[in-house]
Amino acid sequence: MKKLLASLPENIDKNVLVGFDTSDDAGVYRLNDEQALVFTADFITPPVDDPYLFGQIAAANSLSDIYAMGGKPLTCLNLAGFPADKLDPEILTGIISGALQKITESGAVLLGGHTTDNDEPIFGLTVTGMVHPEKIWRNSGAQPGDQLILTKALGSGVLFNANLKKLVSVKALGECLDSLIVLNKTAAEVFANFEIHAATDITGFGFAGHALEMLSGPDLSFNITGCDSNHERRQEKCTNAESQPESIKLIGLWSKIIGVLLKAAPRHSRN
Amino acid sequence: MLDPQTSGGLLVAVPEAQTQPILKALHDAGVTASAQIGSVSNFSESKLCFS
Repeated sequence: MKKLLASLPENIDKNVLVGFDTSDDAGVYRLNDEQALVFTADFITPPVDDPYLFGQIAAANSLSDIYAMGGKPLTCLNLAGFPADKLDPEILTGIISGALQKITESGAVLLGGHTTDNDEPIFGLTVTGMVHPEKIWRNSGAQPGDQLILTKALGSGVLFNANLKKLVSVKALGECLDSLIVLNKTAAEVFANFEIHAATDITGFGFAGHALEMLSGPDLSFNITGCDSNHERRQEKCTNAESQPESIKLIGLWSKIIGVLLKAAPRHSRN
Repeated sequence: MLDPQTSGGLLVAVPEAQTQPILKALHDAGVTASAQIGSVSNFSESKLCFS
């Protein structure tokens, strides 16, 4: 995607404050000295079978990009793909109802959307938000000495994959889902009261991918010192699942991949 | 570390002096999973260092 975007001509409109030339979470367009619009679009395949819950998760996921830019969501449009010939239309109603609940909680409104026929359900939102042009949170901007704060536990990807093999307890899965439907609204509102240097949200590229995006420009390192008990707990849940050896094997493999990734970031590629 | 997250949390770089006040405010606001998970330094060895 980076290669594709690099081949496109640059935006020449000076009101484009954040465009596709950086790895930021959303685009930002300046309206005046006080206001800029924030734009994002995202959709996902269902991580769960329950339609309402899927809608809630997909909406929280889409809205998150606005919060990660320091903005407030204003309006949303549904983006839906649905196999109408295979699934009951009530399922789509459930998905949209779940999304609407989260949109309403965010303070935004749903204006409409578009649904297309697709082999499997996909759902997400385009979201438009508002931010002050001088208070945009970018991916870049971290400085030596800064501390890194993460507001949700990691591990949902591992957990969902393990769950496909019935390796996760109902309780652990429930706690994970409870976390996924929490909007990043409150966290963003808290951060807005303080000076912050850089921000992103952790989604499809995983922790390492998004952390590397924050490091794409400056000559910096992130020193990950570990996690407190909250963040370790989910990993323990996975490794404590009924079939320990396989889960542990998976996590061991990922640790090795991380090692490879780190070695694949030579000094000359830093910029 | 590498697994894709759906609807994950915010990862924010903050000045060191603000860290504890921010964490307290996050916890007080109910964002109880918030934690300090590392720090930023000038480049050393690799972009992501784990300890």
